[in-house]
Amino acid sequence: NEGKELTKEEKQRLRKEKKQHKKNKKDDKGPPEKEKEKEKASVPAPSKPATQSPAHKAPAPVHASESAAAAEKPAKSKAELRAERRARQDSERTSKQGKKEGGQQSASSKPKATPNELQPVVKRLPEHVQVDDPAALKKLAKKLERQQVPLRSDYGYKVSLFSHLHQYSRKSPPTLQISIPATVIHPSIVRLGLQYSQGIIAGSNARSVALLHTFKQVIQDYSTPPNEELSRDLVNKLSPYISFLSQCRPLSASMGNAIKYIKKEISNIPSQCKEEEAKGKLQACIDSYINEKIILASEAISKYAIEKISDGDVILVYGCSSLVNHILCKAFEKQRKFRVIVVDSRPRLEGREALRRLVKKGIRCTYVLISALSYILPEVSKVFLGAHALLANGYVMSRVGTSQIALVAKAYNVPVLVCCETYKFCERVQTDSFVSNELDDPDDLIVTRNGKSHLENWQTVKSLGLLNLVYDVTPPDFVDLVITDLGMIPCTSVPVVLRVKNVDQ
Amino acid sequence: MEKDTTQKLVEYFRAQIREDPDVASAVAAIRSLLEFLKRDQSETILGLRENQTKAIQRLEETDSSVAVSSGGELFLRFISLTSLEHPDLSQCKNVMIERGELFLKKISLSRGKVGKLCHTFIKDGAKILTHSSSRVVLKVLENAAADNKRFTVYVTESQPDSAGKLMAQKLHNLNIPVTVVLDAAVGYIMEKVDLVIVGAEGVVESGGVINKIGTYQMAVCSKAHNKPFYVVAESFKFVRLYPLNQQDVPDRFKYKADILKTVKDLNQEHPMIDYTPPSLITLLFTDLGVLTPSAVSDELIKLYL
Repeated sequence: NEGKELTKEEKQRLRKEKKQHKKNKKDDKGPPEKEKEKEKASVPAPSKPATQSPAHKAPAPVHASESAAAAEKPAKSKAELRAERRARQDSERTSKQGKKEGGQQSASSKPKATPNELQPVVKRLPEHVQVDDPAALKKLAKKLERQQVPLRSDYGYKVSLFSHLHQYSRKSPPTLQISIPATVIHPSIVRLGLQYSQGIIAGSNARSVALLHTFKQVIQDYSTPPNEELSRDLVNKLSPYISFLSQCRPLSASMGNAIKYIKKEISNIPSQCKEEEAKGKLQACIDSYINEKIILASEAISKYAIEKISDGDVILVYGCSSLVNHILCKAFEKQRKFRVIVVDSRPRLEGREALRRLVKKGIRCTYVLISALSYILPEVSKVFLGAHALLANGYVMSRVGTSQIALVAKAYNVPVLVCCETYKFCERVQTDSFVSNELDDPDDLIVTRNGKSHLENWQTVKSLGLLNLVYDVTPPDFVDLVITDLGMIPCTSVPVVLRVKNVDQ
Repeated sequence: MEKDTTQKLVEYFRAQIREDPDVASAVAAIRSLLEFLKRDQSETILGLRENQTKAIQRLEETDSSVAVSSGGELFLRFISLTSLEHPDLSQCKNVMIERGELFLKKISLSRGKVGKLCHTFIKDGAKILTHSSSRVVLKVLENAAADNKRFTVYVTESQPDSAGKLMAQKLHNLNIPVTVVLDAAVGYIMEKVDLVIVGAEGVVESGGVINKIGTYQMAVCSKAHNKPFYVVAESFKFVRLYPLNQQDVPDRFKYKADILKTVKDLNQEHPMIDYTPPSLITLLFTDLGVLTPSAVSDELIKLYL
């Protein structure tokens, strides 16, 4: 405890005073929304709407769950604190009822301000699927303003079925709106955000690894301000970065899991730990996460997958999955005789990259577009697909076009194998591709052929909308086998793996 | 590995099956393994495990059914997955033998448990179709008959070994009305029957089953006619295979042990088993309970991890 000017109790008292002060200020303004937050799986947890100016640098306990999980024990018991908070919320809610205009019809759909005892985990809809709800947008704008992260505006006409999702243009990344030098956002995060929004870094594994490396850099450059704890302050510092990155490109499930892991590791740093030691420990944690969950996992998956590849096989792959490419290269090294058919689709044409990598290894490949799928399938003996995420009800979320391939393969009785590391397993449940998806830049669909671009002026035609979807979900009936680092499981056993993983943690 | 000890092991195994024809081959195999363990003279735990593994391999060569392989592996896991921290080897060995006896007792009772679970699904006046000769199905039908239920049974002949005729004889001895049908008549008879019950040689990770050749055909027909297709199997038949199609089942299970040793070109031989995918199975009755095919993976994870 040397070097700290205030004792633990004094710091807690300071914190409580600041909270009380803020609450009084808020009561004067009129409470906007007071909600009970809990961490969500895929989207970074929003902070309380209590105004927190950067100059304040108050280590306000951002998450109810985190403060409960903090290593230090509060002066009062946790139950008493919770009762206090609930009493405060109830009083604020009754005062709000009087002022309510009833302008938020979606308020009923959102489980807000639910007392702790009724629901242990309250899941709110992530904001990136509520773009057509003005209240949610206002809340997001306020949060971003507080974090000093630029708000990115949507672009172009959105097809009505997908109007609840963001649609950004690649020509206006949020990095244009940041002043130089960036004061709140770390420069490597700005660079990462730009790489994401321009599509320079694409692919689930690549994005997660880049994110983790950037966080290592951020932790390296971080220094604890005086009278602060590294375990609390660093998490608060990461929140604006995560908001910024999700403005550049919505976070993937794998990135969400990685961020959850890092936040957990940071908050578990004991308070006696010196700064250098803590930083070193965090760097080691991140390195071991990348090593175990991504690199070693892909080795284990290759080992299982190679058992399923026999001589004379004709394997169909779609798009560019780093894991599937790795498996095929390893199988080729092990002297398996097979040939590959690469299926590709516009506008990303990722299959070309996969084709390049496989041909370089010396594997015999054929290249078709997805429209030729039913023509080529009678020749195919197996289909290998990568996944962006595996949902808790067994649905596979992957690049758009994957469910089409699985459907046609099922019709031809060709086995479909999905390869996915366990860190991409997500507790979300989704049965269709509409609810949560990503809309890419619609201008990508414009084709220029013989000097003419037919859709160039699509914005002038009022009834025309261009839809560039990124993901779709495949039901588990179409998938025969999922190969993970834990072994080969049927698609319906994903919740079992999630349960086993939660028990481990 | 000494030739005569393995020879004794095989003889003991064959003797078990001869003495009690009603016992499952896996149970007989596990009994032999336990006896082998008792007589084993190794000095280290690693040596014991190695000898057990070799013994299992030797037994697989004698009887190439899936159940022997899965039962052997489960037995090995069960006895060695305990704390063997005693400094004295004989104490460890005693612990292992104790666990082995416990395992053996559990699985000897499993057939009875399955019978008790399943017979309630047979309603009065039901017409049942079954395939080839399965001792577990016989037990189920025995329990149902003891419960004073009236039902008729159709059994397929099940070539090439005509095992169905044996089953018909046994059912006849239980005073259950039984008819033997040709293997080719499954599609014809399917509209008459109410449900299909078959046994299994092995239950795989996907929830599918490996059973005597002709089972897959019967499953496809019952799906086409919307008749429930039930599988009865003890839990020691759960095996860590995941076949994608018929070709993916390893050759060592498809053919009888002596054929594997003598014949060069297996393409000329007729396989003895086939694989039924989980989409065609309605329910599986095991001593762990009544499971849907997707729950099998859950149970397997619990058993093997």
